[in-house]
Amino acid sequence: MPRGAGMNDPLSHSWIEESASSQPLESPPLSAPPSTISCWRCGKEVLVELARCPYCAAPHGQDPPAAAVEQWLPDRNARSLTWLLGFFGVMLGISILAGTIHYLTSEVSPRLRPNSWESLLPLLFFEAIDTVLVFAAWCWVGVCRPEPRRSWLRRLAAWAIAIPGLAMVLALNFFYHHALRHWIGAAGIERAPLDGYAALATSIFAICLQPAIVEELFFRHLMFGALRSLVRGHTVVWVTSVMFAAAHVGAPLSMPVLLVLGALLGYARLATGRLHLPIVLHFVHNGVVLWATMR
Amino acid sequence: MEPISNLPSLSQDTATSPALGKLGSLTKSARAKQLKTARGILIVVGILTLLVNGFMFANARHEVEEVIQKQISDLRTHGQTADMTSVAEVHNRAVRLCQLIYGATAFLGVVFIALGIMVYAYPVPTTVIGLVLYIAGIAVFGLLNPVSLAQGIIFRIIIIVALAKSIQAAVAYQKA
Repeated sequence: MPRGAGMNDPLSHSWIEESASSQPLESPPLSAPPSTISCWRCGKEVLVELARCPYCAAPHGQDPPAAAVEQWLPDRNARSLTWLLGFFGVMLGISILAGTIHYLTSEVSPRLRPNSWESLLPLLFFEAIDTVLVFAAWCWVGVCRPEPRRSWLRRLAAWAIAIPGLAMVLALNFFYHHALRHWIGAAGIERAPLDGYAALATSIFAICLQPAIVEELFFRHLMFGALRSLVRGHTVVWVTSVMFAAAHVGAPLSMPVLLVLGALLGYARLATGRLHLPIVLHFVHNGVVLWATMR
Repeated sequence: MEPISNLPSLSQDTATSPALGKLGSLTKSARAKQLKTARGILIVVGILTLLVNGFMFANARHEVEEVIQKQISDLRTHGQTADMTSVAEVHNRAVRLCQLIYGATAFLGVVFIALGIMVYAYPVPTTVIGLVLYIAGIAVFGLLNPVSLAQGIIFRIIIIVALAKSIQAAVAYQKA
């Protein structure tokens, strides 16, 4: 029945005709979306107007290193962080096991000459396990987020400032342990002359070289890289310092000084963008402490 | 009827699509709930640590005296006597050492409480440091007294797993 044929025609009502002739539905106007860009370091969406990323403090408006944008993703960081904390827990467990075995066998097997290279064998054994774990973590986690390249002047300044910084940390170390020895009679840094060149070489390897390389690889390379795109530089330094101090469960009274040393090493890593300076500082620090015990 | 061609496409970014933005906020609220659990754990562990070690700190002198008296009585049983000058020196040093250990552990409890309060402001650092300090505390006291490792081991494992999950939630919460 055509429209308008009669009064009873339901299609003859004017409102129906008006709706039929009304304009087609239009979508409500959308407000202009805020312009955002993807941060070159952490990958999060940030407003264009901001000069720095609010999540990782990366400066915007500069050309990011191509490697940092292409190779590193925040999701990978999250998984790496979880795995690295798992490895850290395993290493702490091994430290507990080493301490327990040392406690149980110290009176059972006093045959070893004290301060001989043979007396360092248990330490070498557990350090070998830690080394394997750290290299396994490195292979499992993969390449960590590369740091932006630092200017040669900044690296030179970092090396120059690190020397008096290390001297202050060593002074704090000796003062702190002297105060401990005086106050509670605790053996902080014990005097223990080594028996022969074999013991000296073994001590340099076990106390200076291995910790400098392996610990820096784990804390200032793997953990540093995993945390770097999640939090800011200063936060990364202090979180890794707490982990570094906590890893030395065999010397709980020395943890406050180790926290300060860890911060120095972390800032050295942050300032230079490389591991060379932290490794050298760590080696020199342990070497000076070893020399102090040998006098 | 003209075709409807102006509806927003589901392939648009979250910033421009309100529907996808609501899904993001639901995920964020789920992560916030996990962070709330982490905050509760850190604060409760911190309060318990502070209270127990605070009591032990106050009781350190009495505890050392008990141990020394027991050793003196053991010596007397074997017909030996103790040099009282040395005993006094050992007593003072032992009291200071115990007070140092209990005081440091009580301070650790304060740190846990502070981390729990700051978990929403700094989710990743606080959860990571909380887990690290908790495991390190177990390790240190395990070295001092290996028997203590087995005490409450199930409870400790539950706390460690919860803190580990809170780290993952913190990373996702920060990214959201």
